[in-house]
Amino acid sequence: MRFLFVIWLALAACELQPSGCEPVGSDPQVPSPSMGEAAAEYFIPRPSLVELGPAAQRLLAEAGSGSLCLTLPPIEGTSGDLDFRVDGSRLCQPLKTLSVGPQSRRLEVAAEFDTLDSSLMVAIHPGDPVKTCQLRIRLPSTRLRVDLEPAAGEPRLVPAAEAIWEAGGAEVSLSDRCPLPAPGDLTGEVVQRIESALAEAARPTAEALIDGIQKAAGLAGTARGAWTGPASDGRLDFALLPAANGLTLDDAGLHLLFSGGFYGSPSACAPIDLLPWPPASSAPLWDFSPAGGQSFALGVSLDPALAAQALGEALRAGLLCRPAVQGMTLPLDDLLPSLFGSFADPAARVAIWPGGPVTVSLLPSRPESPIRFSVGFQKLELDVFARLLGGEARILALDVDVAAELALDPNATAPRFSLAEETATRIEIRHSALLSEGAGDLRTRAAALIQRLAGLAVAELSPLPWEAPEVGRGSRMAMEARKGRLVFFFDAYRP
Amino acid sequence: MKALALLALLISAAAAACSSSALPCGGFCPTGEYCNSEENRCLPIRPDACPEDLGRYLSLAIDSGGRLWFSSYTESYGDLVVGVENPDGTLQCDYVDGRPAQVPYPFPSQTPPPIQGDDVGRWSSLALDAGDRPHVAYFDSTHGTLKLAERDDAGWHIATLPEIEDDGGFGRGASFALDSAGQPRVAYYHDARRELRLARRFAGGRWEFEVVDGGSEVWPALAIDAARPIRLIVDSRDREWLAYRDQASGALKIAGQEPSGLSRWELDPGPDAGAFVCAARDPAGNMALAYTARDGSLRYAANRSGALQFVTALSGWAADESGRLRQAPAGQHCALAFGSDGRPRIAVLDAARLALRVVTLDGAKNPAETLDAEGPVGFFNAMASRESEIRAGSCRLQRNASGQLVCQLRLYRIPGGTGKGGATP
Repeated sequence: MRFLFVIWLALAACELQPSGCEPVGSDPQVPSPSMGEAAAEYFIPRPSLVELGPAAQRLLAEAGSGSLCLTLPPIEGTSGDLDFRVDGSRLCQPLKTLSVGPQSRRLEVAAEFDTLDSSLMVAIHPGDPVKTCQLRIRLPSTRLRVDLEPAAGEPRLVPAAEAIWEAGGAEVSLSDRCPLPAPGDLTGEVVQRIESALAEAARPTAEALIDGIQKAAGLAGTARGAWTGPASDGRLDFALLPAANGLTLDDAGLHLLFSGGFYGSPSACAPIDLLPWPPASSAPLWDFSPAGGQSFALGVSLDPALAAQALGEALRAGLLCRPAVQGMTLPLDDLLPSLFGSFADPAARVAIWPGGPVTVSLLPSRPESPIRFSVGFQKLELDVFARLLGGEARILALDVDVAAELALDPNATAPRFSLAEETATRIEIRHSALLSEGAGDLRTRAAALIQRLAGLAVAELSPLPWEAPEVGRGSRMAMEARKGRLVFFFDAYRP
Repeated sequence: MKALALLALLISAAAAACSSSALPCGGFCPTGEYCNSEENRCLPIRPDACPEDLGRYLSLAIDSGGRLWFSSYTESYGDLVVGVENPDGTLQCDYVDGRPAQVPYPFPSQTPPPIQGDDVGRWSSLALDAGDRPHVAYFDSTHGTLKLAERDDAGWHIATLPEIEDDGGFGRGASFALDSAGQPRVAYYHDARRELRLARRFAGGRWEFEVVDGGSEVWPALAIDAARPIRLIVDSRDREWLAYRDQASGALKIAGQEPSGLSRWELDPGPDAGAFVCAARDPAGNMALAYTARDGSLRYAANRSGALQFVTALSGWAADESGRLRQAPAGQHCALAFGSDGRPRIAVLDAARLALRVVTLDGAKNPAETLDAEGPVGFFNAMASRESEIRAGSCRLQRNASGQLVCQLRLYRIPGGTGKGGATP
């Protein structure tokens, strides 16, 4: 399970870096003050719980697991005056169907493993050349039934009772004209070995199926990440963990709460006086009914404070610092023609240094309209480098306060942010060289430069990577802002 | 009789009209001058003074009398200028190449000055021989050739280097040195063949050429605004050493003469290494070099016990006034020279403040000082040292009356040098 869309919000800056932010090993210690109690929340409505079966089956097939596999050891023996030997083998009954049915506070899981027809070679001694016979094995379909329920104090599903296996008897026969005088000695032993192997395989097979269902539901684990910025001195860590008592299965469906947060160590390229950001704190949504009333397989709600914390901590860790060597390229020959396009290359390189805090908030949304975020940067420092005389020279340095609205279109196939509005609320020119544009004129042009830069920065963001749990892997999607949280709806996968 | 008198008058008038005194400038201007028909007088094609734009592709050398020589390209005329610093600090310039061979007479009045000749002088690289005579290699942009200007008692002698092939321009990025016999060595790019080449002249005027690197389609031609991506040093044993940027991979390489021939080594795999390279002979007679690295820092490499040792001379990251870490490219337009204390000095452009800085590598703190804060300055830096002096030169950019960006040549004295090493752009 991965919350890539959350990480994406944090690492928007990394998308802007040609070389990206450097991933590093995550810190096993999670500081609890940074973790929001209900940072994220999953919900699978009761009618969609049946989707867990095919979803888990797909995951198991992709992983090459889920079959009922029996391991037969080598068999050696004597039949009359002849010795025989059958090499060890592995017989697998593929998973034919996996279904999940909602019961009261339980999930009823039923699996069927397909009939298997196989044959093994029997070597018979003495004889020159060695004689062989064919041992035919038919394993009829096998069925498993198990009920799952939330574990006490743990965010996982466990069997409510012993799993029930229904297996028909194995049919074993030797090929015609096999010279063994007493073939029943061998076939009997093989049947016995198969029954024994089935008993051994039952438990791990059931566990694999349950594991697949948990993964399909998004219960399987934690999401962790850690990155360093271009100055390599700060660090941003991210953790999203299923809450200990966060799993609920009731008449409404399956509900899972995640605690999560961003934290790390500050970079010297970030403002010195920034304190760690507070964690997400809004209450979980619980009621996921979409405004349009459409059905869905998976609902996800996020506290936008998590996004604010992500950006704030990314800024503090230096991930939003963008040095000149990785600066954004911006054509300026029309805005600052006294230098660009005449004595310097038409395009400038712009370095970005957050010199103050950042704010992020989710704006109230209207039905059918894009979800909008308000993002504000205080004292954003911009260094504009011109390429002239074969090198890079800083010809303009600005301090600006920027307020922007980013829109996320719910109807887009691959949703991505667009710049809905941008305002440079304060512009201070700290340094200017080689430009002939006058001070007042330069300020006006700088505002246009900032607008252009903001548009470019947002355009460079890649579409959101929607990696929901398998149960919600469908292509259709809806987004809403509700009760101060951001809500995403996913449909089931229909091949 | 009356008719004869009238005829004589007419002839006289016509003769007067055709006399030399009626032609602009009297019908003649001496060599080096042109006829300004508006002012009706001969004016020098080039002024006595140094050009307004001076300091591009700067190269410095100090003669045995301690006098500073410089060569430069001037955008004012598209000429190669070679000059000296007078004892009072004023500059004396010689427009060595680039003046038009023939000026139309009378010069069309609507043609604005200056009167352009060939566009020559980029990548000028200067060395003085044992007799303090200047030799300059430079690129002829008009013809796409590499030229050599050498002065003796009779004046300047200008020659185009012969080339093995005639299939394209050659000579960009020129770097020049003299061997102990005073014979020229020039490293340069060959555009058509996409090669880095080394040319050697021998007694009698015979030239030999050697391909150092390249020859691949992926080597792009050197941009006309590229600063100095090649540096050539002749060591104390007369072996050539080149530090250069691999145009294809962006790696920083060196090439040097070994008993088996020319060998190449990759010092920094890049990419984006060696956009600027500077080199000098260290006190032991070996090549030392500095270059801009991919991370925006300036790296220095020198021979230590037979192996190159690297240090970061200048980090691209530095604290600003409020202590916050900021990054700007370090080491652009670098120049390198050694003082008598054996310590290298590197002059660079401070790309953030547009100032000229000098870093002294002392093996510990590597202090960097601002040599000139009256920016924008720090472009096309060059250095030279001899005995008690280290000298540096730089281009300060400014706008002239017509709004053009021009280089103002600024020269500096740097304390701490009493050695014998020299810097060669």
